[in-house]
Parts: sequence; structure tokens; C-alpha cells
Amino acid sequence: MLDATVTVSTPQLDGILERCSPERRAELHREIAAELGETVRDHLRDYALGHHKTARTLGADPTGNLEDARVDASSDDGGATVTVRALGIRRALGPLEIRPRNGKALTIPVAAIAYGRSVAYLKSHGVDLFRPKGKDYLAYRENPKSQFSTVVYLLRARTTLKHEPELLPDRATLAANAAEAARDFIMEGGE
Amino acid sequence: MTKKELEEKLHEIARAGALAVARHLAPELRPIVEAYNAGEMNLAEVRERAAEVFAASEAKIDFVVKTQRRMAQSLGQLAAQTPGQLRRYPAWRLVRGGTRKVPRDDWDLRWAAAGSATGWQGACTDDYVALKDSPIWAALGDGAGGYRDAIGNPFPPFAFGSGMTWQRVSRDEAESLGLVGEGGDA
Repeated sequence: MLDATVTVSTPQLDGILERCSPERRAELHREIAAELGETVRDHLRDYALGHHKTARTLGADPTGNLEDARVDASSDDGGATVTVRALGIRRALGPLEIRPRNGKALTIPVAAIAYGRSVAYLKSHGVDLFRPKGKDYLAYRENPKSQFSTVVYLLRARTTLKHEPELLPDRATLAANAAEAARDFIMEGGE
Repeated sequence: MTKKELEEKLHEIARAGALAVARHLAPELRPIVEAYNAGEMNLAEVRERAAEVFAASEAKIDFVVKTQRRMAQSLGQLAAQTPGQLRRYPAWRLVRGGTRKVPRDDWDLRWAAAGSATGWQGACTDDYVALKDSPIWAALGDGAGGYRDAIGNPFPPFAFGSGMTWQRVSRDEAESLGLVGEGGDA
């Protein structure tokens, strides 16, 4: 999940908010939350469609982590919240260090067979993974009698995903769309 | 039994089976799907955990959890509809929201069949755009035209494994498409 705060504040809007009853303020925030939720959803879909670099590089199917992400909007009289439920989305706000949750090392897929699949899963499906002595990767042999092996996962104690601010709409877009939703609410008599 | 009949029979089995799983999710899969939908588990963990408790192929597990996730995504979108959103964005466009190795190429036929079945109420004939309350969405989900892979929901995904989803359409565009009167109600 991702927590981020965008503050929309203009003298006009602040004045209106001050005059609003808590119920009206909650309605206004609901409109803003809905608008921002749709803005984020549209952005994620468009972004994800053009960014399946890892999957494409490996010749694997995209996992759909971003394009299928659930985006929830909620609000009350104190503000509007949009929640993006996608692993790794936090890198939109800055570099994201990842450490192993289970196991001793992160397993970073470098072969199509490993993309979207865990070590345990591959082993349970008969892929005989092994770690060559002194090496920091896991490999397997397609032909057990062959001397050649395929590197499947790199093993890392941690890794850092680079900051990808473009994962989410920029703050100016969010603020403008929130203001537009507020303006519409007021114009339509929601004040 | 001809190959066509066999194909239809297999499709029926797949559809009935997937429907049963997707709509009446196996209890052992429920916490896994919930964690996946909540963004607490990645697909690799989902496949690993699901394979431990659910005897099915990877394709079927993917099929179930991804369908559930897309349905949850659409339900979130529906739940976020407000008077303001309906006023400013009265329509949806059916667009590709997920990449597929082999995308369906029959959406024009599906759209035409669903439109014909509903008299094109609130729907464009030459663009995949319709008002949010158009019956065309339910017809798409019901597989109007005889599409047996339809899921039965009036929201995306309309067919099993489909990557098509909704994109909101502004009032200005809906007006230019003739779906709403200028300045009037949808």
C-alpha cells in the first residue's frame, strides 16, 4: 500500500471549506477522493501498458502487478484518501530497499521460467535448482547429463528499486484534478 | 462427437469450472486471493501458496486469482462513483488495460452483438463507448451473441482472461458522440 498526501489549498477553497458543515465537507472530500482515485487508476493502467520491461526482457508473461492494482478511494470530513494496493508502488515516492521476507536471500529472476515463480514453486514442479559452490545464483540443467546450466535467480541480501516518480500522476495533476472536482461540487450547489 | 462439439463441451466445462471457482471461491484460496488483492502478496507467492492448498494447474490458478483481482478492481471503480463523477464522466470506454500474448480480436463482434441485443441504448455503434448505466455492459458480460466465455458480470472483466477494462469518458466527449445532450442529463 502507499501513503502520500496531496494538499489542495486556495484561499477561495479554504474559505468555502470553513463555511461548510462537516457533512458538506465530507461530501466534498468524497468527490475529491473519487476524482483522485480515477486519476490514479487511469494513470496506472496507461503506465503499466507501456512498461513490462523485465517481463519482455526475459520473454515472460507480465504479472500484471500494476495494471490490475486495486485503487480504493475513501474520505471523511477531515480529508480524502486514495490507497493503491500494489507491491513495490512505494518506489513512486523514492528508492525502495527490499530485503528478504522469508529465506536468507532475495531471489531475483533472470530467466523466463523464474519470472512470477518462487524457488519453492519451481522445485515442487520438478525444476532441480542448485547453487554452484561460491556463486551467488541459482541455476538448473535442462538436461541433467549436460555440463551446461542456466542461471535462473540471482541471490542478493538486498536490492534497491530506483525511484520511479512517473508511476503515479505528478502532484500538479493530482492537485488540478482535485481542484476541478471541488469546483464542480461547488458550482453544482454542493456547498 | 465432432471436434466442434468437443471444443464446445470443453469450453463449457472450463467455463462452469472457472465460474464455480471464481464466484464460489474455494475456501482454501480465499485468504490467498485476499492478500493478492490487497497488494500484500506477489504472483510468485500466490502461485506457491495456492499450489500447496489447491490441486490445479498454474494456468487455472492464475486464471482464478487474476479474474478475482480484476473483478475487485472494477468493483472498486464502481464503488467510487459519485454524483460528480457521473456528471463529469457519464460514460465508459472499453479499452485494453492488460497486455496479452494473444489478445482477443473479436471485441467488435461482441460489442455489435451486445449493442443489438440492447437496442444500442446509451451506446455508440462505432466506438466502444456507452453510458455508465447502459444495458450494453450487462449484455457484454452475459455474452450476448453466444460468447460462452462471458463471466456474467456487468463490469470488467467481461470474459475469462480478458484484459479489457473501463476508461472514463468526459461529458464533452460523450456529448460529441451523441450519448448525452449538450448540458443535459445523461
